[in-house]
Amino acid sequence: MKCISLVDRIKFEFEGNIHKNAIAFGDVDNDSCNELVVGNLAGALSIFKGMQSKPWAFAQNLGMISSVIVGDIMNINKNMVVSISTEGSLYLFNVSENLNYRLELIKLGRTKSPSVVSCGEEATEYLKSGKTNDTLLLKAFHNQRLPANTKTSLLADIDNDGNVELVVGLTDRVVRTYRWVKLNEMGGKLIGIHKWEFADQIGTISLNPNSNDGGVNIIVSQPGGTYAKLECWGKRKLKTDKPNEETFTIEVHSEDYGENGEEKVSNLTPFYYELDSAKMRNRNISTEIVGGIYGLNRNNEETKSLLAIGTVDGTLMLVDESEILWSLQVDHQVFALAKLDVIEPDKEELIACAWDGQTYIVNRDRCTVRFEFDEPVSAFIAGHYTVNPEKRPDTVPCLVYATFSNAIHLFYNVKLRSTISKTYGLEKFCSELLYDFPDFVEENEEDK
Amino acid sequence: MEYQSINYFILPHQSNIYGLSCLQTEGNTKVLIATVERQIFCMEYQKGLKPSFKEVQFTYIPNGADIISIDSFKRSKNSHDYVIGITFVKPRVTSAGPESSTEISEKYYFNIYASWPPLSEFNIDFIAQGCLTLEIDFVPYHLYHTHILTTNSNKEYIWLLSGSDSYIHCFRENKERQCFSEEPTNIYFPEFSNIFGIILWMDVFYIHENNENNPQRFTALGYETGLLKVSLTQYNVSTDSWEVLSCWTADFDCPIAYVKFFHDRNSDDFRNIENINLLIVNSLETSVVFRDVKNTHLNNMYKLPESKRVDCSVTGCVGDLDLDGMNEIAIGTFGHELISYKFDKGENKYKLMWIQMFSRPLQSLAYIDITGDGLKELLVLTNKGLHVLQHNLNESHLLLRKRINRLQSVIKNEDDGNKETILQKLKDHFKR
Repeated sequence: MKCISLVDRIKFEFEGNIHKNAIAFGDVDNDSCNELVVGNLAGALSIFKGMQSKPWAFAQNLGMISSVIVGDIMNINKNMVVSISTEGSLYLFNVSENLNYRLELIKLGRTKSPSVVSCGEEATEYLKSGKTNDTLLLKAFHNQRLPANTKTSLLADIDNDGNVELVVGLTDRVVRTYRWVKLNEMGGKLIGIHKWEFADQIGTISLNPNSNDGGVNIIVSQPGGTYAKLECWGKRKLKTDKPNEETFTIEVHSEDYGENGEEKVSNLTPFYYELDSAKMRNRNISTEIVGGIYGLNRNNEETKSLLAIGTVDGTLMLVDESEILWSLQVDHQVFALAKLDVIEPDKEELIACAWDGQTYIVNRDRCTVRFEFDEPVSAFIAGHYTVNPEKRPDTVPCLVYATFSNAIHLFYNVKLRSTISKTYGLEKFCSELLYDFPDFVEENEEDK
Repeated sequence: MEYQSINYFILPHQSNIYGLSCLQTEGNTKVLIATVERQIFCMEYQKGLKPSFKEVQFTYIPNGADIISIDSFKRSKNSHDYVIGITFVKPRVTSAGPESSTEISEKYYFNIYASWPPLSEFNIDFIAQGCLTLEIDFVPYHLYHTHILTTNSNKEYIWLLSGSDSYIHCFRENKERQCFSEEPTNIYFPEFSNIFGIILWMDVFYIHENNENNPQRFTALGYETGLLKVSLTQYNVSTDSWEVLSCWTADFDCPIAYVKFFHDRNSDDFRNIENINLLIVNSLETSVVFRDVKNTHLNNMYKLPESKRVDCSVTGCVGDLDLDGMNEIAIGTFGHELISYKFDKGENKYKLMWIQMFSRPLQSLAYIDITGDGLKELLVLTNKGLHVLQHNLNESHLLLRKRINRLQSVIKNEDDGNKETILQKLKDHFKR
């Protein structure tokens, strides 16, 4: 197996242990540059921007953060940072607003350290701990209690109504969805929509485009290298009437019965896929899943709905619905899966990371490249990050490793040319031509 | 950047600046890498660019030994007759007296591996079994091989090993007894007497070798103290001995990590008419090149700009890195950078060509055709593994095409299709 070494890296300072889903890329301040958001088990949330190793923005006392997301949760075309803790507290941050507030204060010249004003006591405490004064202190504009034991979360338009919903996976074998509902000018809240219970512990949740109608399905990994699919779109609609001044009503129109009266509610239950190879393996092995991979399906047609499954015993599989297209056995414990375009343009590769830092980059043809990160890893993601926001706002493919040694390593410029080495079988004659005849002699020739 | 990494081999333990040795065998080239934890790896490319990277079990390297240096050469031209030398240190714990105070003393060995008799085909595992162990009473440093001229002007390879005892030891093969043994260095290398310090790197360079009357050679010694000693010696046929013609020294303020004689032009055809230059890689200071050592001695010093930009330079390499027929210089640093220089004839100075970053400190460099495709690759040994960097194939392909076109225009159609004749004509043409 081919190995690579990655050179360009940024080391971020971040203390504490990180839950493996409490790290995310995203454009937090809506400047079309991607930042990195990380939360730790002590309730501190940091946002890193550019090459700066110190946090660019910071918040604390958020509980044991188990999941962070960046996205337009309020459906107002503005990205928010969402932090969910294991205890169930959800915090929403509007980073752009916090930035504006600080600028406003500076303009007014009210204070030398405006961040202290914006966050009160927490900030003073934080500044005492020796962090830089430049760090923006974030204040949550919304906080809400959700059921405890959140493990993983994501934002997606699962019912194809044009608005995104929050999907949360819990360690209680439950997946819930929420929608942001605006109550008045200032605020709103998240309202629960669906709840599904699963037979087994949830590994990760991911999304897979529905190949038929353009909607997305939630896919939930289940132990033993299997998964379940949740198809919500078109089966049940939730309509919110425009909220009145004081009261608002939310009506759930049960459309569980189709036009001909047949029962449709069964479609809302999880559909389990028992993959062939799952039968002979440990049923309890924890499993990761990533969906929406672009590739060729079992009929050799192009599709965007392939999914990859990785298990802690080192099996990687590319799956089309119920059929395993290929599987690969690696001798390391894979705990995180991601997809990223790093080799050929417009084609996504599967990236699997093991606890000890071994990283496998697998392309569609199962060609594998290995990268060895030297330290044990607590969280791993792959995605796009803006390394130089001032000069070049474009994002580059990155691999991020959160370690147990109070540092997060981000490798950027992860662009491989090919998994397969090429060569010309040059004859001795050609080799002599390349090495023995200096260019300056040729130039003299031209002069004549 | 004109080089791209085609393979990267991860080593379980780190190596050192003496840990890389290239072995030119029939058909392909192999690279031997010795790690300090007594492991030796052999890397080669098989047909179809299939890399193979495997550990070779060399016998008689005891547990707990740390390998210091490795070197190899081909003993005779015609057969598969290779010799590999490995020096290592073995800590020995001896309990002294009833107080049970343990004392750690170290023993040093020089193992020479060869196959007697020569094999019909190259087999590294077989060579690794035939071992001759020499116990040495000094800490070994640079293990180097060169040849000496024997009476009937045959070449015979010998080992040179610099030691902590401020001496360069010479090991020559005793053909009758089929073993190597230490011989007084003065006989073959009178210029190596009066060494006051540890030699970190040495280089021997023969000139006018085929001249029956007065073959000459340059030797350069890089001291740990920063002293550079360059000697010119000449072979006296009548007395069958080497005589020191002249000797020059230069003093630097830091250990000299690497010395290397080279010609400006890469081709063998120019060997005897070209000036001889000497590359000095200074670990902490700016590295320099002494140009035209033969005529200007050490007076013509050219600095390599920015070569101390990162903390410590540890190794160097000379080769035609950009395929223009002229030799360029590459310097490997502890600060993860590989810096390359090119001599600018117009401005009469060395110019920085490119810098490439690596993820780890560099330890050794080589520029050889490891893939066997006719294009040389740049091998970079870091403390974590071995990088194989290949020329940009598209660019070199265009260059080759350009040269073939030029060649066709230079040589008129008389010898169409006969490559060898065309090549010979072209060579003659350029020599004029």
